[in-house]
This record gives sequence, structure tokens and C-alpha cells, in this order.
Amino acid sequence: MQCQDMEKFIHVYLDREFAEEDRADYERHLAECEQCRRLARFEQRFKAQLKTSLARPHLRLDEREAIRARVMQTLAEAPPLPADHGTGRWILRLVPAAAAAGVLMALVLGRGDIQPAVVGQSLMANTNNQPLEVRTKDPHALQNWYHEKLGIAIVPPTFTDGRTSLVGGRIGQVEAKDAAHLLYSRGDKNISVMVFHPENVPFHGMVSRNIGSKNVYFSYSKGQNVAAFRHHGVGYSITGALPRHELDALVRDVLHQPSGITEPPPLNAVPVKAP
Amino acid sequence: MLRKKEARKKAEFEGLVMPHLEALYGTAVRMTRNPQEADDLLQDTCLKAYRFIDKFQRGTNFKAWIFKILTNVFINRYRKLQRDRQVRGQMERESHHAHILGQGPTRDAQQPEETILDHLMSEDITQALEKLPPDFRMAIILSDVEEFSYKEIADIMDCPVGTVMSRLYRARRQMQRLLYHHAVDRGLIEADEAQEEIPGASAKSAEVTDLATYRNQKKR
Repeated sequence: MQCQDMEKFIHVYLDREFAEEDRADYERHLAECEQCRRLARFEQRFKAQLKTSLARPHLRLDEREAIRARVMQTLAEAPPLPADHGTGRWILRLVPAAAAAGVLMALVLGRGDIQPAVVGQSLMANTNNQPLEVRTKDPHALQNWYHEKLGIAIVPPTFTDGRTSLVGGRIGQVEAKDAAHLLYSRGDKNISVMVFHPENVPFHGMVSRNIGSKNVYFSYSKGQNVAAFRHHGVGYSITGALPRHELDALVRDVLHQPSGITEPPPLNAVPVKAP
Repeated sequence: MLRKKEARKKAEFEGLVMPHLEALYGTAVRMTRNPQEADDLLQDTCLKAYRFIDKFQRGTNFKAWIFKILTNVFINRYRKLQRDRQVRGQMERESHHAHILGQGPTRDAQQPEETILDHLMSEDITQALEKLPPDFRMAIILSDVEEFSYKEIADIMDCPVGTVMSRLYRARRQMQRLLYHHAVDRGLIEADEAQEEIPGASAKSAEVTDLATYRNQKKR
């Protein structure tokens, strides 16, 4: 065997993945070949350095505790396991192990999720491109329009990132109730903010995390992230195809605003109707 | 009665997952490159694992089982969110590679073999890892940090053992090239023309397949 062929398997050797016989052969070659020995030494050192450098990030005790606490909280809030959960076990025994692994992953990644309705409704609102009932960049005009429609004045949040701007609104649904669906644009992407009556709207089964001492619930599906929370007695969901930390910034903006519902705006604010 | 059963399940699950929390979080940090998203990934992984805990066969390897869930949650969650970023990253990577192709780790006769390694800091290595495609990054973490066997990695990443071998080989080579280039850039070592002739430094000669290939080659 040539050195070049040996070189390809140097990691298999160093990772101790060779069977005894192959390993003995490999070592016989190393004993004879200075060039391969040098390479083996180099790779061995490189592996050791990877291990040291990439070791798990050092966590302070409080950080470790915080992570642990969040996992415990997520578990505490997890919805009860489905009643038919036990039946899966004996069915699983009937399938060969390899197929079982496939079935398992299909379940884990498939429709096994139990998400509260607000998640699905927010995702639908953001991706379905339903026509807006009113198109305006003016939050006051939109506030006025919702007052006419819903009898309450919804205050559209203003975002501070300088690129998420109001497009308009429509009446959407959360659970079985009317909700305000505010549409924003952010570059070429839609951001939807649903404002709803928070009563009987559960967030269980979502991952929760504190943002500014407020419990915010997260979910994602098909590239869309959803954040849902209660603030000043109003329910919110914010949905968009954006990374979680950017979504967090939008959530923070809403939390910094006084309230999503106010007294009706002055009568002279004229709604702008969609064409 | 039901509630009691539920509580017992939760306690059992906690007992299984807690010893691996740091390993899971560490991997999540390396994969997402962002502590906050790592935390979310960890939470989602734990939630999914809990939901399907009845599918875990007692007595088998729980760490490998939950790492498989972590890997899948990561792929599903970030594939779409990161697509834009990755397309950009890919282009940068390719031009980068064209520039350094043919340069490998220092191991020619004239230069001491440890030169690069002696000059590297942990940060350089972390940064090089972060430049790898997710599949390569995951293979390195699972093998070199978490010390899973090839068989376990194959199961976690849902691919044949041969693919694990070639991913690891290519991932380590790619890191070495990136690190070599980095060291030359910083003036830590001098670029050496002789290195273009190092066996295995060109990506084409470096396709690892499987052990059968090894045995066949041995017979030649």
C-alpha cells in the first residue's frame, strides 16, 4: 500500500476505529515509514488541540443554573403527554430497529407537535397573504380603523430597528375570537403582529424565555419564528422569517410601549380605506 | 393518578437529561454560533425529547439519542433561517478556498512539523470551526469534543459510517487549510512553496470511502 492511501485513513487509525487486524497492519507501516509517522504525530497533536480548544464553553455556576432552570421551566410548562402515548411502545417493538429509528424521527420532526392555536393562526396570517382591509403607514389612522371595526383602539407598535415599517391591517382570528392582524414589511419579508384578547389563549407547549422580566413564548415552523406574550392585559404574537435575536428586539420594542389598547383616538383622525 | 404518572415521567426525564445539559448546550453554541439561539435550541431539544421519551429504549445510549434530536431540530430550524446567510458565506468560502488550495499543514522536511500548531490560539481554532459547513462542524464536535464513535455519529447524523469518515477527513483538512492560511496571513509562519506538494493536501486525493476500500488498497 502506498503512503497516499495510508494517509486517507490516518484519522480512522487515530480515532481508534480500526479493527485489531487493520490496526496492526497500519502500525506496521508506521514503524517503517518516517513520513507517515510524522503525519500521524501532526494529526494526533491537531486532534488534541481541537479537543482542548473546542471544549465546551466554560459556564459560570450561575449561568449553568440559569440554563438548568430554563429547561426545568420548559418541562414544567410542557403539555401532558398524549393519552395514547403508551401504545406507541408495543407497536415499536413490532418493527425492526432500523425502521423504528426512522419512525421515531418522523414522529419527532413530523406532526407530533402540540402547539396552541395562536401559533398556527399567527403563521397562517403571516404567510397566506390575505388581502389587507386597510393599507396605511400611519399608526393613528390604523388605530382609528380598528376602533370602528372592533370597538377598541389597537395601538400599532413602532419598531426601532428602522427597517420594520407598517403596511396596514385586517381583522384576523386568535382562538375563536377576532384579533387585530397588523402587517409590517421588513426588507422583502412580512412581519405580522397579532393583537388579541389574552383570555383563554394558552401558550403551553412553547419554549419560554424571559425578555425584560416578561415571560415570552416562542415557537417556529417552516422557517418562521413566532413570539407570543401578554403585556398590559393584551395578548401579542409577532411572526416572521427572521432569526430569534432579531425577533427578540421586536418583542422588546413592544414591551417598551405603554399599551396596545387605548382610549379611542380623536375623531378628526380619518381612516384610510384600502382601494 | 394521571398527574402522578406525569410527574414521575418528568422526574425520570430530568434524571436522564440533566447530566448531558452542558454537552448539549456546548454543541448548540458551536452550531448556532450564538448563545441565545443555542439556549432556544436546547429548550426545543429538551421539549421534543420529553414528548417522545416513551420512544427511547431504556438501557440504550441516551446521550446519542438526545444528540440525534438536537441535530434534527438544528437542521430543521436553521436551514431556512440561515439560508440567506449561508449562500453569502458559501461564496466567500469558495473564493477563500481557491486562494489557499494546495496548501496544507506544515509537514515537509525543511520545516518543523508543529509550526502551525504552536502558533495557534483556541480562538483561531474556534473561528476556523465556525467557517465549516454545518455537517462538517457537527462531525468534528461529535467526534473530537463529545467523543462519539463513528457508528454513533452515523446514527446521530443519519448517514452511513463511510460518510462519517469522509466528513471527518474533509472537515479536519479544511480546518487545517484555514488555519494555515490564517497563520500565513498573520505572519505567524512563512508561506512555503514546498507545501503544495504535500500528499493529501489537495482535496481531490482525499476521498475516504470505507474500510473495504482500505482493505482492498492494502492488497495491492
